[in-house]
Amino acid sequence: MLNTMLLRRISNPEKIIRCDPITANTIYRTNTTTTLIQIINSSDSDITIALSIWCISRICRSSEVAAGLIKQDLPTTLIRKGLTGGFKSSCLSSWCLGILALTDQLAEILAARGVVNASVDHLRRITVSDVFGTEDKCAALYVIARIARSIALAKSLVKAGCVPLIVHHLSTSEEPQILHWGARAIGCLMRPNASDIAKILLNAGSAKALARIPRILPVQEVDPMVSFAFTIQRFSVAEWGAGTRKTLVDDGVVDSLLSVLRASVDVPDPRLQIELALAVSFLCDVGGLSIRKEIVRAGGIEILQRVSAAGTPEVARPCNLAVTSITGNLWTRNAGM
Amino acid sequence: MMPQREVESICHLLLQVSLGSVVMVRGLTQSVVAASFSSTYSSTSPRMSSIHESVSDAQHTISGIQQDPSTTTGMMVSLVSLRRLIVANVSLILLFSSVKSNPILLVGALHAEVTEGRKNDVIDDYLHRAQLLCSQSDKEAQRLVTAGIVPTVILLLRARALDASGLETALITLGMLAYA
Repeated sequence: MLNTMLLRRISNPEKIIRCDPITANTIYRTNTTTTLIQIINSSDSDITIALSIWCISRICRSSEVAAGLIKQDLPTTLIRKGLTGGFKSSCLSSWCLGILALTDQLAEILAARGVVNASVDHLRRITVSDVFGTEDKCAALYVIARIARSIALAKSLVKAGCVPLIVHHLSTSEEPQILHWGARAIGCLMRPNASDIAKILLNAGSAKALARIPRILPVQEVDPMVSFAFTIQRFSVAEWGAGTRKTLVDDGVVDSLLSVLRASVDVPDPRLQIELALAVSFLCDVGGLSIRKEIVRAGGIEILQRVSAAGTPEVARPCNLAVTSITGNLWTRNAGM
Repeated sequence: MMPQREVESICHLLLQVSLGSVVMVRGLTQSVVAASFSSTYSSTSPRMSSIHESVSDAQHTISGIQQDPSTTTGMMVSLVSLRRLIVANVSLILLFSSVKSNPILLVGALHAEVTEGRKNDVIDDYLHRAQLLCSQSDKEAQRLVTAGIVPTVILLLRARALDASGLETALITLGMLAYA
Protein backbone atom coordinates (compact mmCIF):
# COMPACT_ATOMS: atom_id res chain seq x y z
CA MET A 1 0.00 0.00 0.00
CA LEU A 2 2.87 2.30 0.81
CA ASN A 3 4.34 1.59 -2.59
CA THR A 4 1.14 2.51 -4.38
CA MET A 5 0.98 5.72 -2.40
CA LEU A 6 4.52 6.61 -3.33
CA LEU A 7 4.12 5.67 -6.96
CA ARG A 8 1.05 7.84 -7.19
CA ARG A 9 2.97 10.91 -6.08
CA ILE A 10 4.99 10.93 -9.24
CA SER A 11 1.90 11.71 -11.29
CA ASN A 12 2.31 15.29 -10.18
CA PRO A 13 5.42 16.23 -12.16
CA GLU A 14 5.02 19.94 -11.34
CA LYS A 15 6.20 19.11 -7.82
CA ILE A 16 9.53 18.01 -9.27
CA ILE A 17 10.21 21.55 -10.41
CA ARG A 18 8.88 23.19 -7.25
CA CYS A 19 11.15 21.44 -4.76
CA ASP A 20 14.59 22.39 -3.66
CA PRO A 21 16.98 20.20 -5.70
CA ILE A 22 19.98 20.29 -3.33
CA THR A 23 19.52 16.79 -1.88
CA ALA A 24 18.75 15.38 -5.32
CA ASN A 25 21.97 16.90 -6.69
CA THR A 26 23.94 15.45 -3.77
CA ILE A 27 22.56 12.01 -4.56
CA TYR A 28 23.43 12.49 -8.24
CA ARG A 29 26.97 13.71 -7.59
CA THR A 30 27.83 10.64 -5.51
CA ASN A 31 27.22 8.55 -8.63
CA THR A 32 24.25 6.74 -7.11
CA THR A 33 22.36 6.88 -10.41
CA THR A 34 24.86 4.40 -11.89
CA THR A 35 23.96 1.95 -9.11
CA LEU A 36 20.26 2.58 -9.71
CA ILE A 37 20.63 1.96 -13.46
CA GLN A 38 22.56 -1.23 -12.71
CA ILE A 39 19.74 -2.36 -10.43
CA ILE A 40 17.23 -1.73 -13.26
CA ASN A 41 19.41 -3.73 -15.66
CA SER A 42 20.01 -6.67 -13.34
CA SER A 43 16.78 -7.03 -11.37
CA ASP A 44 13.83 -9.22 -12.31
CA SER A 45 11.40 -7.84 -9.77
CA ASP A 46 8.83 -5.38 -11.14
CA ILE A 47 8.63 -3.42 -7.89
CA THR A 48 12.43 -3.11 -7.52
CA ILE A 49 12.82 -1.85 -11.09
CA ALA A 50 9.88 0.51 -10.63
CA LEU A 51 11.26 1.93 -7.39
CA SER A 52 14.71 2.48 -8.94
CA ILE A 53 13.11 4.36 -11.86
CA TRP A 54 11.01 6.28 -9.34
CA CYS A 55 14.15 7.31 -7.44
CA ILE A 56 15.85 8.42 -10.66
CA SER A 57 12.79 10.48 -11.65
CA ARG A 58 12.87 12.26 -8.32
CA ILE A 59 16.60 12.92 -8.60
CA CYS A 60 16.31 14.29 -12.17
CA ARG A 61 15.34 17.89 -11.54
CA SER A 62 17.79 19.95 -13.61
CA SER A 63 18.95 19.79 -17.21
CA GLU A 64 22.53 18.97 -16.12
CA VAL A 65 21.38 15.91 -14.20
CA ALA A 66 19.12 14.88 -17.10
CA ALA A 67 22.01 15.24 -19.57
CA GLY A 68 24.20 13.13 -17.28
CA LEU A 69 21.51 10.44 -17.02
CA ILE A 70 21.14 10.34 -20.81
CA LYS A 71 24.92 9.98 -21.09
CA GLN A 72 24.71 6.98 -18.72
CA ASP A 73 22.41 5.42 -21.33
CA LEU A 74 19.29 5.57 -19.18
CA PRO A 75 16.89 6.06 -22.18
CA THR A 76 18.03 2.80 -23.80
CA THR A 77 17.61 0.95 -20.50
CA LEU A 78 14.14 2.43 -20.02
CA ILE A 79 13.06 1.56 -23.56
CA ARG A 80 14.48 -1.99 -23.57
CA LYS A 81 13.77 -3.07 -20.03
CA GLY A 82 11.36 -0.54 -18.47
CA LEU A 83 8.67 -0.05 -21.11
CA THR A 84 8.48 -3.75 -21.91
CA GLY A 85 8.51 -4.83 -18.25
CA GLY A 86 5.74 -5.18 -15.69
CA PHE A 87 2.88 -2.73 -15.12
CA LYS A 88 4.57 -0.56 -12.52
CA SER A 89 7.93 -0.37 -14.23
CA SER A 90 6.48 0.39 -17.68
CA CYS A 91 4.30 3.16 -16.24
CA LEU A 92 7.19 4.73 -14.34
CA SER A 93 9.52 4.37 -17.36
CA SER A 94 7.07 6.49 -19.34
CA TRP A 95 7.00 9.19 -16.69
CA CYS A 96 10.78 9.06 -16.40
CA LEU A 97 11.34 9.38 -20.19
CA GLY A 98 9.07 12.42 -20.16
CA ILE A 99 10.84 13.95 -17.18
CA LEU A 100 14.22 13.56 -18.94
CA ALA A 101 13.05 15.91 -21.74
CA LEU A 102 13.77 19.04 -19.71
CA THR A 103 15.01 21.18 -22.63
CA ASP A 104 14.56 21.25 -26.42
CA GLN A 105 18.12 20.02 -26.86
CA LEU A 106 17.60 17.05 -24.52
CA ALA A 107 14.38 16.18 -26.37
CA GLU A 108 16.36 16.09 -29.63
CA ILE A 109 18.95 13.77 -28.05
CA LEU A 110 16.19 11.54 -26.69
CA ALA A 111 14.61 11.40 -30.16
CA ALA A 112 17.97 10.34 -31.59
CA ARG A 113 17.97 7.48 -29.04
CA GLY A 114 14.66 6.23 -30.44
CA VAL A 115 12.30 7.61 -27.81
CA VAL A 116 9.81 8.91 -30.44
CA ASN A 117 9.00 5.50 -31.89
CA ALA A 118 9.23 3.77 -28.51
CA SER A 119 6.76 6.19 -26.90
CA VAL A 120 4.24 5.92 -29.74
CA ASP A 121 4.56 2.11 -29.77
CA HIS A 122 4.02 2.12 -26.02
CA LEU A 123 0.91 4.29 -26.36
CA ARG A 124 -0.37 1.92 -29.07
CA ARG A 125 0.18 -1.12 -26.85
CA ILE A 126 -1.65 0.57 -23.98
CA THR A 127 -4.50 1.66 -26.25
CA VAL A 128 -5.20 -1.73 -27.79
CA SER A 129 -5.10 -3.68 -24.53
CA ASP A 130 -7.75 -3.57 -21.82
CA VAL A 131 -5.48 -4.48 -18.94
CA PHE A 132 -3.86 -1.06 -18.53
CA GLY A 133 -5.27 1.48 -16.10
CA THR A 134 -5.58 5.25 -15.89
CA GLU A 135 -2.03 5.78 -14.59
CA ASP A 136 -0.52 3.84 -17.52
CA LYS A 137 -2.52 5.82 -20.07
CA CYS A 138 -1.63 9.14 -18.45
CA ALA A 139 2.06 8.23 -18.41
CA ALA A 140 2.02 7.19 -22.09
CA LEU A 141 0.33 10.49 -23.08
CA TYR A 142 2.66 12.51 -20.83
CA VAL A 143 5.83 11.29 -22.54
CA ILE A 144 4.46 12.33 -25.98
CA ALA A 145 3.48 15.77 -24.67
CA ARG A 146 6.97 16.26 -23.24
CA ILE A 147 8.93 15.03 -26.27
CA ALA A 148 7.02 17.30 -28.72
CA ARG A 149 9.21 20.32 -28.03
CA SER A 150 9.81 21.48 -31.62
CA ILE A 151 7.97 21.33 -34.95
CA ALA A 152 10.42 18.72 -36.25
CA LEU A 153 9.88 16.48 -33.21
CA ALA A 154 6.11 16.96 -33.40
CA LYS A 155 6.20 15.96 -37.06
CA SER A 156 8.14 12.79 -36.31
CA LEU A 157 5.64 11.93 -33.55
CA VAL A 158 2.75 12.50 -35.96
CA LYS A 159 4.55 10.39 -38.58
CA ALA A 160 4.96 7.59 -36.04
CA GLY A 161 1.16 7.58 -35.72
CA CYS A 162 0.39 9.13 -32.35
CA VAL A 163 -2.52 11.37 -33.44
CA PRO A 164 -5.32 8.76 -33.82
CA LEU A 165 -4.24 7.16 -30.52
CA ILE A 166 -4.37 10.43 -28.56
CA VAL A 167 -7.69 11.41 -30.15
CA HIS A 168 -9.06 7.96 -29.26
CA HIS A 169 -8.29 8.48 -25.56
CA LEU A 170 -9.55 12.05 -25.66
CA SER A 171 -12.85 11.11 -27.25
CA THR A 172 -13.61 7.92 -25.32
CA SER A 173 -12.24 8.34 -21.80
CA GLU A 174 -14.12 9.83 -18.90
CA GLU A 175 -11.17 9.97 -16.50
CA PRO A 176 -10.21 13.59 -15.72
CA GLN A 177 -6.48 12.84 -15.69
CA ILE A 178 -6.51 11.04 -19.05
CA LEU A 179 -8.44 13.95 -20.58
CA HIS A 180 -5.97 16.35 -18.96
CA TRP A 181 -2.89 14.67 -20.43
CA GLY A 182 -4.61 13.90 -23.75
CA ALA A 183 -5.51 17.57 -24.25
CA ARG A 184 -1.98 18.60 -23.21
CA ALA A 185 -0.45 16.19 -25.73
CA ILE A 186 -2.62 17.59 -28.56
CA GLY A 187 -1.69 21.15 -27.57
CA CYS A 188 2.02 20.40 -27.23
CA LEU A 189 2.16 18.98 -30.76
CA MET A 190 1.38 22.47 -32.14
CA ARG A 191 3.58 25.53 -32.25
CA PRO A 192 3.43 28.81 -34.25
CA ASN A 193 3.42 28.14 -38.00
CA ALA A 194 2.50 24.47 -37.59
CA SER A 195 -0.65 24.71 -39.69
CA ASP A 196 -0.09 21.31 -41.33
CA ILE A 197 0.00 19.56 -37.93
CA ALA A 198 -3.11 21.51 -36.87
CA LYS A 199 -4.85 20.29 -40.02
CA ILE A 200 -3.92 16.66 -39.32
CA LEU A 201 -5.19 17.01 -35.74
CA LEU A 202 -8.47 18.58 -36.86
CA ASN A 203 -8.99 15.92 -39.55
CA ALA A 204 -8.51 13.23 -36.90
CA GLY A 205 -11.40 14.73 -34.91
CA SER A 206 -9.46 16.37 -32.09
CA ALA A 207 -11.69 19.49 -32.02
CA LYS A 208 -14.81 17.40 -31.39
CA ALA A 209 -12.96 15.45 -28.72
CA LEU A 210 -11.82 18.69 -27.06
CA ALA A 211 -15.32 20.16 -27.09
CA ARG A 212 -16.50 17.04 -25.28
CA ILE A 213 -14.30 17.66 -22.19
CA PRO A 214 -16.42 20.46 -20.59
CA ARG A 215 -19.59 18.52 -21.35
CA ILE A 216 -18.64 15.44 -19.37
CA LEU A 217 -16.53 16.94 -16.56
CA PRO A 218 -17.56 19.45 -13.88
CA VAL A 219 -15.72 22.77 -14.00
CA GLN A 220 -14.14 21.95 -10.61
CA GLU A 221 -11.79 19.56 -12.43
CA VAL A 222 -9.29 22.35 -12.93
CA ASP A 223 -6.42 20.43 -14.59
CA PRO A 224 -8.37 19.10 -17.60
CA MET A 225 -10.07 22.47 -18.07
CA VAL A 226 -6.76 24.34 -18.03
CA SER A 227 -5.35 21.87 -20.57
CA PHE A 228 -8.48 22.37 -22.70
CA ALA A 229 -7.84 26.16 -22.71
CA PHE A 230 -4.13 25.60 -23.39
CA THR A 231 -4.88 23.45 -26.44
CA ILE A 232 -7.28 26.06 -27.85
CA GLN A 233 -4.51 28.64 -27.46
CA ARG A 234 -2.12 26.37 -29.34
CA PHE A 235 -4.68 25.80 -32.13
CA SER A 236 -5.02 29.58 -32.46
CA VAL A 237 -1.29 30.23 -32.76
CA ALA A 238 -0.63 27.28 -35.08
CA GLU A 239 -2.24 29.08 -38.02
CA TRP A 240 -2.85 32.76 -38.59
CA GLY A 241 -5.61 32.03 -41.12
CA ALA A 242 -9.31 31.48 -40.54
CA GLY A 243 -9.49 27.78 -41.52
CA THR A 244 -8.58 26.30 -38.12
CA ARG A 245 -10.83 28.68 -36.22
CA LYS A 246 -13.78 27.88 -38.47
CA THR A 247 -13.42 24.18 -37.73
CA LEU A 248 -13.20 24.94 -34.00
CA VAL A 249 -16.52 26.85 -34.20
CA ASP A 250 -18.16 24.13 -36.30
CA ASP A 251 -17.11 21.39 -33.87
CA GLY A 252 -18.53 23.26 -30.88
CA VAL A 253 -15.27 24.20 -29.16
CA VAL A 254 -16.24 27.87 -28.80
CA ASP A 255 -19.58 27.07 -27.15
CA SER A 256 -17.81 24.73 -24.72
CA LEU A 257 -15.18 27.39 -23.99
CA LEU A 258 -17.76 30.06 -23.18
CA SER A 259 -19.80 27.71 -21.01
CA VAL A 260 -16.71 26.79 -18.95
CA LEU A 261 -15.75 30.45 -18.69
CA ARG A 262 -19.19 31.32 -17.35
CA ALA A 263 -19.10 28.49 -14.81
CA SER A 264 -15.51 29.29 -13.77
CA VAL A 265 -16.57 32.35 -11.71
CA ASP A 266 -17.15 30.08 -8.70
CA VAL A 267 -13.87 28.17 -8.98
CA PRO A 268 -11.27 29.54 -6.53
CA ASP A 269 -8.26 28.65 -8.73
CA PRO A 270 -7.31 31.77 -10.78
CA ARG A 271 -5.28 29.62 -13.20
CA LEU A 272 -8.51 28.45 -14.80
CA GLN A 273 -9.99 31.89 -15.52
CA ILE A 274 -6.64 33.24 -16.76
CA GLU A 275 -6.07 30.39 -19.23
CA LEU A 276 -9.68 30.46 -20.47
CA ALA A 277 -9.63 34.25 -21.00
CA LEU A 278 -6.30 33.94 -22.83
CA ALA A 279 -7.81 31.22 -25.02
CA VAL A 280 -10.70 33.57 -26.00
CA SER A 281 -8.21 36.36 -26.60
CA PHE A 282 -5.98 34.19 -28.84
CA LEU A 283 -8.96 32.92 -30.82
CA CYS A 284 -10.17 36.45 -31.52
CA ASP A 285 -6.79 37.79 -32.54
CA VAL A 286 -5.50 38.03 -36.13
CA GLY A 287 -7.62 35.95 -38.49
CA GLY A 288 -10.51 35.53 -36.07
CA LEU A 289 -13.11 37.78 -37.74
CA SER A 290 -15.81 35.10 -37.98
CA ILE A 291 -15.10 33.83 -34.45
CA ARG A 292 -15.37 37.36 -32.98
CA LYS A 293 -18.90 37.64 -34.35
CA GLU A 294 -19.71 34.18 -32.99
CA ILE A 295 -18.43 35.07 -29.50
CA VAL A 296 -20.30 38.40 -29.41
CA ARG A 297 -23.47 36.61 -30.48
CA ALA A 298 -23.02 34.00 -27.71
CA GLY A 299 -22.68 36.74 -25.07
CA GLY A 300 -18.93 36.30 -24.60
CA ILE A 301 -18.30 39.94 -23.68
CA GLU A 302 -20.78 39.92 -20.78
CA ILE A 303 -19.28 36.65 -19.49
CA LEU A 304 -15.75 38.06 -19.65
CA GLN A 305 -16.80 41.25 -17.86
CA ARG A 306 -18.51 39.22 -15.14
CA VAL A 307 -15.42 37.01 -14.60
CA SER A 308 -13.20 40.11 -14.62
CA ALA A 309 -15.34 41.86 -11.99
CA ALA A 310 -15.42 38.81 -9.71
CA GLY A 311 -11.72 37.95 -9.96
CA THR A 312 -8.41 39.32 -8.69
CA PRO A 313 -6.37 41.86 -10.77
CA GLU A 314 -4.36 38.99 -12.30
CA VAL A 315 -7.64 37.48 -13.58
CA ALA A 316 -9.05 40.84 -14.69
CA ARG A 317 -6.08 41.61 -16.94
CA PRO A 318 -6.46 38.70 -19.41
CA CYS A 319 -10.25 39.15 -19.34
CA ASN A 320 -9.91 42.80 -20.38
CA LEU A 321 -7.35 41.74 -22.97
CA ALA A 322 -9.88 39.29 -24.39
CA VAL A 323 -12.60 41.97 -24.51
CA THR A 324 -10.19 44.25 -26.37
CA SER A 325 -9.38 41.43 -28.79
CA ILE A 326 -13.08 40.93 -29.55
CA THR A 327 -14.20 44.54 -29.84
CA GLY A 328 -11.11 46.47 -30.92
CA ASN A 329 -9.70 47.04 -34.39
CA LEU A 330 -6.32 45.74 -35.55
CA TRP A 331 -4.33 48.51 -33.79
CA THR A 332 -6.06 48.47 -30.39
CA ARG A 333 -5.82 44.67 -30.30
CA ASN A 334 -2.07 44.82 -30.67
CA ALA A 335 -1.83 47.64 -28.11
CA GLY A 336 -3.78 45.41 -25.74
CA MET A 337 -1.11 42.73 -25.97
CA MET B 1 10.05 2.50 16.43
CA MET B 2 11.14 0.70 19.53
CA PRO B 3 12.53 -2.82 19.60
CA GLN B 4 9.93 -5.56 19.59
CA ARG B 5 10.91 -6.88 23.03
CA GLU B 6 10.33 -3.56 24.73
CA VAL B 7 6.95 -2.96 23.21
CA GLU B 8 5.84 -6.46 23.99
CA SER B 9 6.95 -6.29 27.61
CA ILE B 10 5.35 -2.89 28.09
CA CYS B 11 2.09 -4.08 26.60
CA HIS B 12 2.20 -7.20 28.73
CA LEU B 13 2.72 -5.13 31.87
CA LEU B 14 -0.04 -2.82 30.83
CA LEU B 15 -2.42 -5.70 30.53
CA GLN B 16 -1.53 -6.91 34.02
CA VAL B 17 -1.39 -3.60 35.80
CA SER B 18 -4.13 -1.75 34.04
CA LEU B 19 -6.75 -3.12 36.43
CA GLY B 20 -4.91 -1.53 39.34
CA SER B 21 -3.73 1.86 38.24
CA VAL B 22 -6.07 3.83 36.11
CA VAL B 23 -4.06 7.03 36.37
CA MET B 24 -0.86 5.39 35.28
CA VAL B 25 -2.59 3.66 32.39
CA ARG B 26 -4.19 6.88 31.22
CA GLY B 27 -0.76 8.45 31.13
CA LEU B 28 0.49 5.59 29.02
CA THR B 29 -2.37 5.49 26.55
CA GLN B 30 -0.70 8.00 24.30
CA SER B 31 2.50 5.98 24.12
CA VAL B 32 0.57 2.84 23.27
CA VAL B 33 -1.24 4.66 20.50
CA ALA B 34 2.10 5.88 19.18
CA ALA B 35 3.52 2.36 19.31
CA SER B 36 0.41 1.08 17.58
CA PHE B 37 0.86 3.65 14.84
CA SER B 38 4.48 2.65 14.35
CA SER B 39 3.63 -1.01 14.12
CA THR B 40 0.72 -0.40 11.75
CA TYR B 41 3.06 1.65 9.62
CA SER B 42 5.35 -1.30 9.17
CA SER B 43 2.67 -3.95 9.23
CA THR B 44 4.17 -5.48 6.08
CA SER B 45 6.87 -7.05 8.21
CA PRO B 46 5.52 -10.26 9.76
CA ARG B 47 7.52 -9.97 12.99
CA MET B 48 5.62 -6.82 13.90
CA SER B 49 2.25 -8.51 13.87
CA SER B 50 2.67 -9.85 17.40
CA ILE B 51 3.37 -6.34 18.65
CA HIS B 52 0.29 -5.15 16.88
CA GLU B 53 -1.79 -7.79 18.61
CA SER B 54 -0.49 -6.97 22.08
CA VAL B 55 -0.97 -3.27 21.46
CA SER B 56 -4.56 -3.71 20.40
CA ASP B 57 -5.16 -5.97 23.43
CA ALA B 58 -3.76 -3.27 25.68
CA GLN B 59 -5.82 -0.59 24.03
CA HIS B 60 -8.92 -2.71 24.41
CA THR B 61 -8.28 -3.17 28.13
CA ILE B 62 -7.53 0.50 28.64
CA SER B 63 -10.72 1.60 26.95
CA GLY B 64 -12.70 -0.91 29.03
CA ILE B 65 -11.19 0.44 32.24
CA GLN B 66 -11.75 4.03 31.32
CA GLN B 67 -15.39 3.33 30.78
CA ASP B 68 -15.83 1.44 34.06
CA PRO B 69 -13.52 2.65 36.88
CA SER B 70 -15.34 0.58 39.55
CA THR B 71 -13.38 -2.55 38.53
CA THR B 72 -10.18 -1.00 39.82
CA THR B 73 -10.99 -0.99 43.54
CA GLY B 74 -9.24 -3.34 45.95
CA MET B 75 -6.34 -4.34 43.74
CA MET B 76 -3.97 -1.47 44.37
CA VAL B 77 -1.77 -2.93 47.12
CA SER B 78 -0.52 -6.04 45.38
CA LEU B 79 0.51 -4.09 42.33
CA VAL B 80 2.98 -1.66 43.87
CA SER B 81 6.03 -3.53 42.62
CA LEU B 82 4.62 -3.74 39.14
CA ARG B 83 3.98 -0.02 39.20
CA ARG B 84 7.65 0.54 39.84
CA LEU B 85 8.40 -1.51 36.77
CA ILE B 86 5.92 0.55 34.80
CA VAL B 87 7.61 3.77 35.88
CA ALA B 88 10.89 2.34 34.63
CA ASN B 89 9.22 1.49 31.35
CA VAL B 90 7.73 4.97 31.03
CA SER B 91 11.19 6.44 31.15
CA LEU B 92 12.22 3.88 28.56
CA ILE B 93 9.35 4.98 26.32
CA LEU B 94 10.37 8.61 26.77
CA LEU B 95 13.92 7.70 25.83
CA PHE B 96 12.78 5.91 22.71
CA SER B 97 10.36 8.62 21.71
CA SER B 98 13.20 11.14 21.94
CA VAL B 99 15.19 8.99 19.52
CA LYS B 100 12.22 8.89 17.22
CA SER B 101 11.81 12.64 17.04
CA ASN B 102 15.51 13.39 16.80
CA PRO B 103 16.89 13.04 13.25
CA ILE B 104 20.52 13.41 14.35
CA LEU B 105 20.33 10.45 16.76
CA LEU B 106 18.42 8.41 14.18
CA VAL B 107 21.05 9.04 11.50
CA GLY B 108 23.82 8.16 13.95
CA ALA B 109 22.09 4.93 14.93
CA LEU B 110 21.44 4.02 11.29
CA HIS B 111 25.04 4.69 10.32
CA ALA B 112 26.34 2.57 13.19
CA GLU B 113 24.00 -0.28 12.27
CA VAL B 114 24.82 -0.13 8.55
CA THR B 115 28.58 -0.05 9.08
CA GLU B 116 28.94 -2.23 12.15
CA GLY B 117 25.85 -4.04 13.41
CA ARG B 118 24.51 -5.01 9.97
CA LYS B 119 21.31 -6.42 11.42
CA ASN B 120 18.86 -6.07 8.55
CA ASP B 121 15.70 -5.91 10.65
CA VAL B 122 17.12 -3.17 12.87
CA ILE B 123 18.24 -1.22 9.78
CA ASP B 124 14.75 -1.59 8.30
CA ASP B 125 13.24 -0.27 11.52
CA TYR B 126 15.47 2.82 11.33
CA LEU B 127 14.62 3.31 7.64
CA HIS B 128 10.91 3.13 8.45
CA ARG B 129 11.43 5.77 11.10
CA ALA B 130 13.26 7.97 8.59
CA GLN B 131 10.39 7.51 6.10
CA LEU B 132 7.91 8.42 8.81
CA LEU B 133 9.85 11.63 9.51
CA CYS B 134 10.05 12.44 5.77
CA SER B 135 6.31 11.94 5.34
CA GLN B 136 5.57 14.18 8.33
CA SER B 137 7.18 17.31 6.90
CA ASP B 138 9.80 18.53 4.46
CA LYS B 139 11.60 20.21 7.34
CA GLU B 140 12.12 16.89 9.14
CA ALA B 141 13.42 15.40 5.90
CA GLN B 142 15.84 18.27 5.50
CA ARG B 143 17.04 17.74 9.08
CA LEU B 144 17.75 14.11 8.21
CA VAL B 145 19.70 15.22 5.15
CA THR B 146 21.65 17.80 7.16
CA ALA B 147 22.46 15.10 9.69
CA GLY B 148 24.04 13.12 6.83
CA ILE B 149 21.57 10.33 6.14
CA VAL B 150 22.09 10.34 2.36
CA PRO B 151 25.61 8.81 2.21
CA THR B 152 24.50 6.09 4.66
CA VAL B 153 21.44 5.20 2.60
CA ILE B 154 23.55 5.15 -0.57
CA LEU B 155 26.07 2.88 1.17
CA LEU B 156 23.23 0.59 2.20
CA LEU B 157 21.75 0.65 -1.31
CA ARG B 158 25.08 -0.47 -2.80
CA ALA B 159 25.45 -3.20 -0.18
CA ARG B 160 21.93 -4.48 -0.74
CA ALA B 161 22.13 -4.21 -4.55
CA LEU B 162 24.56 -7.12 -4.47
CA ASP B 163 22.19 -9.70 -3.01
CA ALA B 164 18.97 -7.87 -3.98
CA SER B 165 17.30 -8.37 -0.61
CA GLY B 166 15.65 -5.51 1.22
CA LEU B 167 16.23 -3.17 -1.72
CA GLU B 168 12.68 -1.78 -1.66
CA THR B 169 12.95 -0.14 1.75
CA ALA B 170 16.28 1.48 0.87
CA LEU B 171 14.93 2.69 -2.50
CA ILE B 172 11.77 4.16 -0.96
CA THR B 173 13.85 6.01 1.65
CA LEU B 174 16.23 7.36 -0.98
CA GLY B 175 13.36 8.50 -3.21
CA MET B 176 11.60 10.21 -0.33
CA LEU B 177 14.81 12.00 0.64
CA ALA B 178 15.40 13.17 -2.94
CA TYR B 179 12.43 15.52 -2.54
CA ALA B 180 13.70 17.12 0.64
